Amino acid sequence: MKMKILLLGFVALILAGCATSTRYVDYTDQRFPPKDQYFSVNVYPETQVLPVSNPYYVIGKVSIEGYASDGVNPEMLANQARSIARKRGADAIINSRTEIIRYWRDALLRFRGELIVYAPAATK
Amino acid sequence: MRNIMRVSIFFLAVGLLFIRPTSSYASDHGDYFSFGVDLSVPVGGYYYGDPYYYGAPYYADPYYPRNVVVSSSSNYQPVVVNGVTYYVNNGAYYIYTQYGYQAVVAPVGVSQPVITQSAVTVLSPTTVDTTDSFTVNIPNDKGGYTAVVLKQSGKGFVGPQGEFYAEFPKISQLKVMYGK
Repeated sequence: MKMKILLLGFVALILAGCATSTRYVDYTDQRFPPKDQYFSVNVYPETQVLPVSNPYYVIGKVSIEGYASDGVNPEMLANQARSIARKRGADAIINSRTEIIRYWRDALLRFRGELIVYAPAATK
Repeated sequence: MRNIMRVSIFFLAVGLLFIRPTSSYASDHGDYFSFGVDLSVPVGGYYYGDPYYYGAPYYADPYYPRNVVVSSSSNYQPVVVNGVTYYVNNGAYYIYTQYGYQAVVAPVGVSQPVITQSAVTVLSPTTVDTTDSFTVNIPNDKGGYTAVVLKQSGKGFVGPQGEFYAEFPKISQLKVMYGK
């Protein structure tokens, strides 16, 4: 019994120590083939609006957050977002932003962005 | 029984060492696993676009249920033009399709929104901040960026010309003064 409680406690502590939390929301029930690990996913800030001449679909949005005290930094969050984009088959991330919420002894960093898939030539 | 109590108290004590602010995201959406107790009060928030741009505070989106396909988003405001429903997000027009939101040209008769930047290249990181000062790169009329250093003053910020902002200024605010 005591061992079970100890184990449960350690599992809870390990989970509490996870550096980042991730959430993904689909805008569509369509699925796209994942990209390989070497595929370069461009991340465009929300100030950069992609030209419509290169049509694209916004397939979902991703949010990742973590605490600075855990060693989380904006670049790390962006790279995690790129990784998620590859798994979801996205070509790029648009409307990205990173929010920093300062607390009296820590800071919460939160990345948000939307995954896009460039429209195939046939639908352009 | 007493041992169980002791072990429980031990983990409670250890857990207290891990107390940290629970994200507003978790409280807004309710779909995050959160360990810890929210004992802190946020003293301010701002964001910068990934990771090269600072901007104004923004607020969390409405809650979406987990594991449910979402066919609309609060970021996409519907606009009906000539019987066609368009969705506007960040100045761009979309129509909703089975593949998600498809970017389209703004419909005829609708005034074009102001696009702050129409480049497709990602610039190298140029934003630097210290504890009390923040460097914001403002798009200027020459197609480049003007670095504006904001210093924190109390709860507000002071610009290069001594102007005071009660909250972190928006890009549009700074652009009026430094975007030329």
